[in-house]
Amino acid sequence: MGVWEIAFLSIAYLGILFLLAFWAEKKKAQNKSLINNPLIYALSLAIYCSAWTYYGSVGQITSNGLSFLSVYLGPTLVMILAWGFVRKMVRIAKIHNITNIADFISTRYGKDSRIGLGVTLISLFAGIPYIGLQLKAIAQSFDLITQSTPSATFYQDPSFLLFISLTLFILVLGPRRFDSSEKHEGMIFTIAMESIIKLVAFLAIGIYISYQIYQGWEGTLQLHTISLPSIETNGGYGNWFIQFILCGIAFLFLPRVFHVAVVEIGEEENLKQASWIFPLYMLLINIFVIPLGIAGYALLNSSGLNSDLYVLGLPIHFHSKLLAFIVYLGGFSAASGMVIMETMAISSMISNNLIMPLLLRQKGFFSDNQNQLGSINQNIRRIMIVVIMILGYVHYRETESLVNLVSVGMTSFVIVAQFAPATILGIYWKKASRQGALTGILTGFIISAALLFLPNLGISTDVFRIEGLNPVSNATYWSITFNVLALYAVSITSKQNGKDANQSYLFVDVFEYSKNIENSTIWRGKARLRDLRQALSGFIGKINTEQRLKQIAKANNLSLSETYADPILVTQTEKILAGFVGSTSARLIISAISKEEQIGMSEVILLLQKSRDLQASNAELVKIDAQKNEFLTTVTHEIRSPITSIRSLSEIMVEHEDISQEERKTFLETIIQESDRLSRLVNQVLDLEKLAAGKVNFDMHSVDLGAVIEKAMMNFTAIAQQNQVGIQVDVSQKRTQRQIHGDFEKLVQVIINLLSNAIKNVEPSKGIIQVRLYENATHICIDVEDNGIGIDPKYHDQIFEKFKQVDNPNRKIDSSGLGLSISKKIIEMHQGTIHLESSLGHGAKFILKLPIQKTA
Amino acid sequence: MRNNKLLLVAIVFLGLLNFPILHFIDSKNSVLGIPFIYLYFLVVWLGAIVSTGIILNRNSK
Repeated sequence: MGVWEIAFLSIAYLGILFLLAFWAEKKKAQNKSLINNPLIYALSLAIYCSAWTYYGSVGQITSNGLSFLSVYLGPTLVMILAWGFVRKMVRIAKIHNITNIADFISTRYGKDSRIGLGVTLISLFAGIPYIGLQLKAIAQSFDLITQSTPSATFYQDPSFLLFISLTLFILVLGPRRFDSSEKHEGMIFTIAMESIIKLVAFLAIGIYISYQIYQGWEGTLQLHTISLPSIETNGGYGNWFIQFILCGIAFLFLPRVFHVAVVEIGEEENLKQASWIFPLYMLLINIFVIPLGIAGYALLNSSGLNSDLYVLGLPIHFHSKLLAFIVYLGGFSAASGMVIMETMAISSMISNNLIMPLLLRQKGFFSDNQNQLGSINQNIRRIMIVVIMILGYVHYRETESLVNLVSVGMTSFVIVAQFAPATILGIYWKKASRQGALTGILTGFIISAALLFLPNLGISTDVFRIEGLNPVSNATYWSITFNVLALYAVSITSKQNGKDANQSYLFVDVFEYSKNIENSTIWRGKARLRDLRQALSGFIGKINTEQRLKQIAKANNLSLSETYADPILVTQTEKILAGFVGSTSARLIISAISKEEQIGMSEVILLLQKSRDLQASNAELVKIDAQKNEFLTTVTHEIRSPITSIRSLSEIMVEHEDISQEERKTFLETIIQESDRLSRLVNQVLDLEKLAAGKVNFDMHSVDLGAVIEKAMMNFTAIAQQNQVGIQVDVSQKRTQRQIHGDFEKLVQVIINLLSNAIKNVEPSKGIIQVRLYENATHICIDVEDNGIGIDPKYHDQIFEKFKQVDNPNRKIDSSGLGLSISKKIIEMHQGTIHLESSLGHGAKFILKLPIQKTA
Repeated sequence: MRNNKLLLVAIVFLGLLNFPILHFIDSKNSVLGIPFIYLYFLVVWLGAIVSTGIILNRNSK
């Protein structure tokens, strides 16, 4: 096909993608998100499958056999565990408004700017060749399908036009002005669509070759008797295992994958289905790699075609123009998707961790540009996108075409895998410290870079070569081992400061703190509200600023009319800013407008404890509320039954004038009894509420408990006789004249309550109640013991609660269930205790202990 | 519980696709023209995907 034809079609394809993106953005504006579902999320994760997958795997078959599979099996392993592990990262990123991997790691380690910068530079170092590789895949596939040779000068190269279009595409859909969440609805939607295209295209060529041309696998594989190298002969199981693991950990730390997986996820729930859909996608895109590889080698090897281009070479070989174009488009999708997301992610890292901090550290920059920081930030990103694209392009133009797709990809993997220890340990181990993380990442990077690149410069690293391992596995082994060791060793020997410790708690225990994050982020200092307003409005505009501040103030009961801002407002402002400029720059802005105090480690732990306690006390309040409701229900129930009987008796008397005088009298007596019960109940409820609220005045004097018992007995003897219950009082054990300090009448009430309680529990005529008064060194005690049916020990805790009545066949109806509750409150007001000794069938003994009054 | 099950799937997945199990599978036989080892990979892979899907979609705590 013609050069301009293909160039035009490719650009038209980008145009269609652009329209799709535009449509998605519009839907989003109508609150109908197209991307917030598991399928699109899983498809966007397929950004992992770049041109390396698309063209590279097939190219590797004849030389390396099945080893290409580790590139997909590793990430599958990670996805199986994603619901635990990735979900934690997603939650953390959401809470802290984190938008890239550099910010993630630096935020964990006390927002250390050196770590953010290190991760950024390393990502750039690993990313440029990787982007170059994709551009190379685009250019080579373009040259192959158009049967042209690359021009010596880049501007005469038609693929340069594609490069320009792609750059424009990213610039238009990329950096946002007013959206801090760094969500790119349109871009993610196009990425998902591209994932569909590349899968369909690859399956199409696979099916075409295996079934259309060769009538099945057998035909394809047997026609060409090429034996694949087995895993054992090709590098062995050691290499296989290391690469398996390497691809798993590198997968998530590739800037583009981190971005789609952690930042652009709509809801956490999406991860649940994506955990199996994305591995299924990878499986599908790999099914035909073997037949394609073998057919390609058999048919095209002699023509001298680069094995990385077999996939496209095959339909051209069979003169299938349409299929060739579809395959080309699939490859273009794989490469462009990767380039789009990678440049976006890296440009935000560079802006957040390198350029903005540099500018903000300049004297006067912040105060001069406060109002346009948002647009400055956006422009920096745009410039960075262009710079990264140019670097990638130059890299592709300047490197020899001998380097195959796979080795460049693998090199990048080893380098980004260095972020894994600091991240994984960082979210599971609180002691991982910033010095540790920094040392680990740098050690790992230096070792991996040395082992991978020094041989290219003619310096041998064979001394460190482990027998049987290939250079990539070898570099992985040494770098990751020393990375972890350095991180661990430095972490356990260095001390965390307050900020580190705070972040480590918020990361490791994210699921505990996420509901209460405002109170868990610790900041102390002084910042004027006016300055916060101004800093925010530089990014989100005046109107949005007011809205956001009001929201925060309302949620936390804060005032917005004070001169100095509450710490919560400051930390929340910092969080919003972090969404735009990253944690490092947000930190710099906040310190520019505030006077901050250092917080000690112990203080942080204490405050975090408080924040947790706050959550606990919230739960407690909910419980108390429930108890209150239950109390109300019981009270109304208790009130209703006497009212019902009063009402029905009165009704009978009104309606039946002929009832006898005697009956009438019985009825009226019952009415009086019920009214008494009612007023007693109301009084008790009031008493209890007053006691609980501490509103009851106690008339405190020296009290002789013997006299208290005597007074109670005076009121009670008649009732006891009426119920045929015997009462024995024994005060002989109290030998001294010592007294307690208390309210005489209230204590009488307690004894009466206990006695009436006992009466209810014993059988008439058999019941005996014993009251004993005695003393020990510190307390005067009263036992009230009955020989009734007793109370099951499992109810002992509940018996003092309001309206808790243990089921008892002998129970008389006039008990409200409040007596013990009131008694307990009264005794507690006297600094005394009341408890119960009892078991079923053996009676009950209430023991009161009141402290002896100290003689002056 | 769910995460423990997933961890088990991950460990079995890793175990089945590595030494020493792989050593016994790594043969040159083929089934329906598909190299046996490749078929083995696809089956284990699919098994892991299906188990993950089932575990995550079952109503467990």
